[in-house]
Amino acid sequence: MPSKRVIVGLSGGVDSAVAAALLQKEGYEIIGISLIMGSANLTGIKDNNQYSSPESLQLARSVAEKLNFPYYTYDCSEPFRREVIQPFIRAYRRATTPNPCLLCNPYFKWKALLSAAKKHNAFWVATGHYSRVIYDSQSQLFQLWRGRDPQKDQSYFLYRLNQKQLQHTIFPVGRYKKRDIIQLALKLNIPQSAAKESQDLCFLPDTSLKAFLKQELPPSLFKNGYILDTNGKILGQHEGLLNYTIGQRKGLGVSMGQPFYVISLNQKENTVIIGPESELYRKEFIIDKCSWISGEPPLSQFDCQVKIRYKHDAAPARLEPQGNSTCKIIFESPQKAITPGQSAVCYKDQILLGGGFIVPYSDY
Amino acid sequence: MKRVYIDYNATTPVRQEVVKIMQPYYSEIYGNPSSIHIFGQESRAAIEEARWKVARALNVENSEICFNSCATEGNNYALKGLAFSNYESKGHIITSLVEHNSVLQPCRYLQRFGFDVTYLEVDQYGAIDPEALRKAIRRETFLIALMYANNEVGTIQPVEKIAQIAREHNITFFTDGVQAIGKIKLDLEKLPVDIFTLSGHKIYGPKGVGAMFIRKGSKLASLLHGGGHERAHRAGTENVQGIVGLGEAVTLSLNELDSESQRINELTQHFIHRLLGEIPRTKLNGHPLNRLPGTVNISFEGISKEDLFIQLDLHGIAASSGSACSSGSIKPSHVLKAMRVKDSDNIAHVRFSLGHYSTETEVNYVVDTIQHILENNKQSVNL
Repeated sequence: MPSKRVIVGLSGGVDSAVAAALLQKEGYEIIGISLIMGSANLTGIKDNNQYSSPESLQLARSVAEKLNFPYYTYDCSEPFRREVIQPFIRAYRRATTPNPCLLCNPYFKWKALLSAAKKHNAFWVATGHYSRVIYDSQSQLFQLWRGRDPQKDQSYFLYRLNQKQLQHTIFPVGRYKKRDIIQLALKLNIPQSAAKESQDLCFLPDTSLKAFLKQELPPSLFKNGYILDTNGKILGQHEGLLNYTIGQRKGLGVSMGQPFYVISLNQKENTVIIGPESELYRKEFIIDKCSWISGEPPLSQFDCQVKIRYKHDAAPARLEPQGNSTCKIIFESPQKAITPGQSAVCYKDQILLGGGFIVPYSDY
Repeated sequence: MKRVYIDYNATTPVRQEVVKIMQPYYSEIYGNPSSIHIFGQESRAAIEEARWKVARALNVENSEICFNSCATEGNNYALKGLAFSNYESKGHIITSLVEHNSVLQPCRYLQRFGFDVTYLEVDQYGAIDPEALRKAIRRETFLIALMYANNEVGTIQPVEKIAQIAREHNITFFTDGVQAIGKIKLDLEKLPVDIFTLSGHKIYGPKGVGAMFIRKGSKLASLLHGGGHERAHRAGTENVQGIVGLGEAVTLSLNELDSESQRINELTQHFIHRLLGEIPRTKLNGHPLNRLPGTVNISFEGISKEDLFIQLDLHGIAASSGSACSSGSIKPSHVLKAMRVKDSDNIAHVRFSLGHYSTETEVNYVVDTIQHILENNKQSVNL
C-alpha cells in the first residue's frame, strides 16, 4: 500500500487550494509546495512570476495555515529558465508559436514535484488541474482523462506526461465542475486571489512579448520583408516575422476589399503570407516529437478527435503514423488557423491519447 | 510529533521567573513613569531598579544604560546617532562584512548621506584582523562598529584588541553585544567599549525591549524626538513591564552564567563531536575554539538547502537554515559568503543554537534524525 503522504503543488489559486482540502478530507497527509519559477521581464524586478510572486506565495501560505499542513517553497528558477523559457525563445527563433505550459508540466513541474516527493517520502503528487488519471487494469496502464467539466478541461496541457509521472499523480478537482470548486472554496473559507485567474505567460507578467523577444533574439528576425498573398503577389511590407502569428488580422497594413489574415509565415523567404478567412482553413498537417500517454507510439492509422490548441473544440480526424515520432493528421472537415509550434492533441472521447507539435508548413 | 527547539540565537522562551516579575506591571502598577504622582513613582522606581540590574551586569554606571525596543533600534541609534551628531564633518566609519543587517543597513543608509564606510573582510573563521582594522583607520574615522560575537557562526571577535586600537586613536567603539550577553563574561568597565547593545528576547526576556550602554560623554543625535525620556536619548513612554522583565532576565543570566555556560559548552561539544564524527561530509563553520557556547553552524554536503530544511521541519526540529529572501528561496547568508564557505546547490548550511532548555536527549535526537534524513536523501537520489 503506497503511503498517504502527498506533495500538493500550490499556486496561490483556488483550484490547488481546494485540491489540498479534498485530499485532506480523504485522509491524505499533505505537504504543500510552491515552486519559485522566476520571471523574464525587463523591469529588473526579480520574481514577479504570476505563480510565485510574493502575493501568490502569501496566498498559498495562508491556505496551508488555514488547513494546517506544512508548506515550503523550492527555488527552481534555474530549471524553469532551462526547461521552459529557453525552449520558448527557441520556438520563436524558428518563427513558430510555442505554448510553454506544455513543456512546463512534464519537464519542469512534475520533475520538481516528483523529486520533492521522493525526498520527503511521499508517494503522491497532486495539482489543481482539471483532468483525471484512471488506471486501466486491462492494459495495466494509467490513462489521462479529460476533466469532468468540459468548459474547464485542462488535460490538453498535460499531454506530454508519461506513465511514470501519472502513476504518482492525483488530480482531485478533475472530478468536479469549476462552480463546485468555487462553492467548496467558499464553504472552506479559502482565501481567493483578487488577481485574474490566469494569464497567457506567467513569466512575462508586465512586459510585452514583443519587447521580450526583441531583447532575446537576433535582429535578423525583425528584418523587414514582403507581405504576399497565397499566389505570391506582393501586397506590402512587414516589420519582421516575429510580429505576426497565424490567424492575426490586425496590424497587417494592407487594405483589401475584405478582411485579410495571416495564413502562414515563411522563415526561409522571410515572407508573411496573408489571405481571406477561407484560406485560413486546412485539412491536413504534420506533427512531430510526438508523445503518447501509453508510452507506445501508434503503429497504424486510427480515427480520433484532435484539438489544435487549448481553446479549440476537438474535431474528428484520422491520424496516420509516419515513421518514428511523426504523424500526419487529416481532419474530416478543414479547421481554422492550424498554427505551427502549437500542439495537436488526440482524444478518444474522454481519454487523451497523446499528441505532438505542429510542423511549419514550409518544412513539409 | 516530537518537537525540538534548537534555535535559541533566533529567540528564546520567556522564563517563568521573568513572566512572574512582569505580571503586576500590566494592570496593577500602570502609572506613567513620567507622572509625579504615586502611580507614576511606582513605575519610575521599577524602571530604575531594572536599570540598576543591567548596569550591574555590565559593570557600568546606571546613568549609562538606556532602554529601547530592541537591538535593531540600539544599533540604528548607535550608528545614525553618532553620525548625525557629526553631520557637518561627515567622516568615516569602519565595520565588517559579517555584521548583523541592523548594522550593515544603517551603514549603507549613511553612505547615501555622504559618510564613508569601510567594510572589513574576515578570515575563514569569520574573525576580523586587528591589523587590518589599524590600517583602515583614517584621520576622519570617528566610529568603529564591530560585533562582539557572530550570531550565525558564533565566532568571538578580538574585541579587546579592537577596543585598544580604538582608544589609541581616540575613536568611538560600538559593539553589537546581542549574542554575547548571557553567554560570556562581560566587564565594560575594563573593556573600553563606548556603546554596547543588547536585546531582551535573546536572554529569556520579553520581545520588544532592549537596552544599550552609552559611555558617559558620548554624543548621539536622538532618533525619536518628543518628551525627552531616557535622558533625551529616546522619547516615548517607557515599556515598563518589558523593562522590568529585561532587568530580571539580565540578572538571571548573570547569576547563572558560569554554570550555564559550562553546561551548554559541554552539551555543544558532545553535539559537534557526534555531528562531525558520525556524519560524513560535514564541516563546522566558525572559529574552532574562540566561539560562543551553544552556536553550531554546520555545512552538510550531499543535500540541497530546501530538502534539508523541509525534512528538519517535518521531523519537528527547529533550527535556522538561513533566511528566506523575498522570493522564498534559501540563500547562503552574507556571513558565510564573507567567510568564503564552500557553497553549491548540493550543500546545506544549518545553524543550530542550544540554550537553557536544551538536553542531551534532544541533541542526540537531532543527530540521529539528520543521519536518517541524509541516508534517505541518498537513496532517493539513486532511485
